[in-house]
Amino acid sequence: MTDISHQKLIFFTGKGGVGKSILSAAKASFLRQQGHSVLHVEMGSSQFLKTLYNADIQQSPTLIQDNLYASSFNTTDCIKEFIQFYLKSDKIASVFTDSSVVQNMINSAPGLSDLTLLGKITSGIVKIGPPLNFDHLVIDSYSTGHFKALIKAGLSMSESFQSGPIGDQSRSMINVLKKKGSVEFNLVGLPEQLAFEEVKDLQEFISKNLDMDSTILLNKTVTNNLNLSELPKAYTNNTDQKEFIEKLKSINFWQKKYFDTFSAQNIEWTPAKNLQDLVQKILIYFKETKESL
Amino acid sequence: MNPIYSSDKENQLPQKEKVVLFVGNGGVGKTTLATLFAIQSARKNLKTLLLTIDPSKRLSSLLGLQAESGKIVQIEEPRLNGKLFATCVVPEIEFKNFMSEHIKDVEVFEKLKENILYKQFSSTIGESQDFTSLYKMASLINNNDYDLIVLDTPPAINSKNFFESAVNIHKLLDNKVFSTFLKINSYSESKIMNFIKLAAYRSISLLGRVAGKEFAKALFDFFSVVQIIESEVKKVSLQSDSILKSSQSKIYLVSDLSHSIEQETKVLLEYFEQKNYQLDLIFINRVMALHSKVAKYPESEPYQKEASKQLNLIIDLFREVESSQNLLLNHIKDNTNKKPPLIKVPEFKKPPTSIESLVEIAESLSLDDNTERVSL
Repeated sequence: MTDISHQKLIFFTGKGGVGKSILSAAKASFLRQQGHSVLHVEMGSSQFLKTLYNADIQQSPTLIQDNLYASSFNTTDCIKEFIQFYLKSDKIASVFTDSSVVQNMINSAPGLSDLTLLGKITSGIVKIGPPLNFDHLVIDSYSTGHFKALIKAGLSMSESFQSGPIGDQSRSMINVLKKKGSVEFNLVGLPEQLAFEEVKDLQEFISKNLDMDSTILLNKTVTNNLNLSELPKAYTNNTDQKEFIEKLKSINFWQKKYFDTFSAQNIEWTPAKNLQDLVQKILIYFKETKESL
Repeated sequence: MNPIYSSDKENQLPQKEKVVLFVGNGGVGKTTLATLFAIQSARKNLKTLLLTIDPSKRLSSLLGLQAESGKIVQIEEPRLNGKLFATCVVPEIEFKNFMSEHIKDVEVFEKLKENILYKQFSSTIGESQDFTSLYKMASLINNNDYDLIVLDTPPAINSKNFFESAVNIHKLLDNKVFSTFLKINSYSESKIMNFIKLAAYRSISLLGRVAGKEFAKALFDFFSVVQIIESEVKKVSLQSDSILKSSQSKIYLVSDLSHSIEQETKVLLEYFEQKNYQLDLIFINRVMALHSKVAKYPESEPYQKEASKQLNLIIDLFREVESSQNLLLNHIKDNTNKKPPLIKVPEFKKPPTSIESLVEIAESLSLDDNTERVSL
């Protein structure tokens, strides 16, 4: 059995469509190659892992490759596991969670679904519920807005309920998220204005609410070596090339802005045949970074 | 079921949509496309309202949205002829409006406002966006003040929650066992009722054990107040469902051509088919402006060698991206059973920096399903 006292939670978040899922897959694959046991987790029902691994991914870990497992955490199963753990009885837990009242309540009760997912992710470290015996959990998390709501749900529940399991659970979740060295927040950006603003905003949010640093990954960069001023005006001013050059200028501008503002990790734009191919091509960028793990 | 639109025959022009919903995954550009679409309809002299959810700071300031109050603003741009209005959903305010409109007892309402879960529901929690935007949409449509309402929806990961939010709350409140939970101290002669009560007692103590008494109490307090307005929740639930199924509503899916988006789009399409919601159009957004088609490889001689080498690599990259985009486009086409028309929206040359530039972009695009379509 793996000793999980050093288990790491590695979150990937950022603006929708920036490549969170792909980068989380590359990170999971990278860590596996480094000899760690990894659980690649997706939150909610995005079904990305189903496509990526071409397998039916449910709540309980599915073996993908040696030391690499995948799970799709959903609210209903998380609540069931939580109740089973507390009541020590599968039967009562099923009676409880299978009832339509409870089903509808889970769907309508404020913040409950976000809270249970957060609870499941941190459950290994706080040793509640079924063991998650992995060195690392790589979490393909929600995009910016929903990610913030998730953290806020934990924070406000932990402040609102001073006693009882919900309050205790929320506090321990938040404590885990604040544990330096155990949690890594990866914020994924693109060389464009909106993604830049979201990354900046998110970094401040995490720092303010959890007192944690985050890692910025700048996805889809276009070669930094290109000096546009070296190209003769005859080429760049040509109507055919003009838009293309404008596009490159804008990418260059935002890349520079990222590297001036953060110590961002550069991930170059790479065309790929399919998802698996893309994951393998992105892997090298994680290899280049000094693993602090 | 109540008709959602005015029964006034003059208003029921066939084929004339009154509501257009933009759905799709996060980050594909739903809000921007919805805005451009609304601009186009205002340009056609339709009094148009754009209802956005969680707009970016940039778009808010471009449109002059009042992100704090959620008030409807008129967009001041000469070419729009005063026909475009915009607002955003502020869940906290909408939920409070909804509650205060329907809970007549001031004391009950004050008690509710103190409830921990109410505070959460109305401010921080993502789920509240769903119900409140449905409510706002339904009430705006009932007002009949606009020729067209363009609605931006929460990201697809929550789309199902969005469409089902009112139904879920209503299902819960409508449930006999649950309402017995809430009236557990009431007296009853009926054996069956007493039996249900016993079950309710057990469930409450169970909930108390797993979630804590404090939480269980807050939850029941919350729902017992919400129960007072059960019929109103039901109304919103029925209204929103009929709005979505109505022939006067259009649902436009926004997607893009990244690898990961394909599966998510497929899931959403299956969901629409299963729910019998008609998907009218698919926008494939940010199809790279295919600069590579026109951009020539630089001839190496007259240029500095290094720059020319780098540029060649970039053109290669863009051309490869273009061909993989075409592959994905075919996949999406093959995986769509009912095959609504697809419209490719090119990447903007420059991001809009003013309302004037937004209008210019809107003028340059064909977003109307009556105009030119992409043949696949």
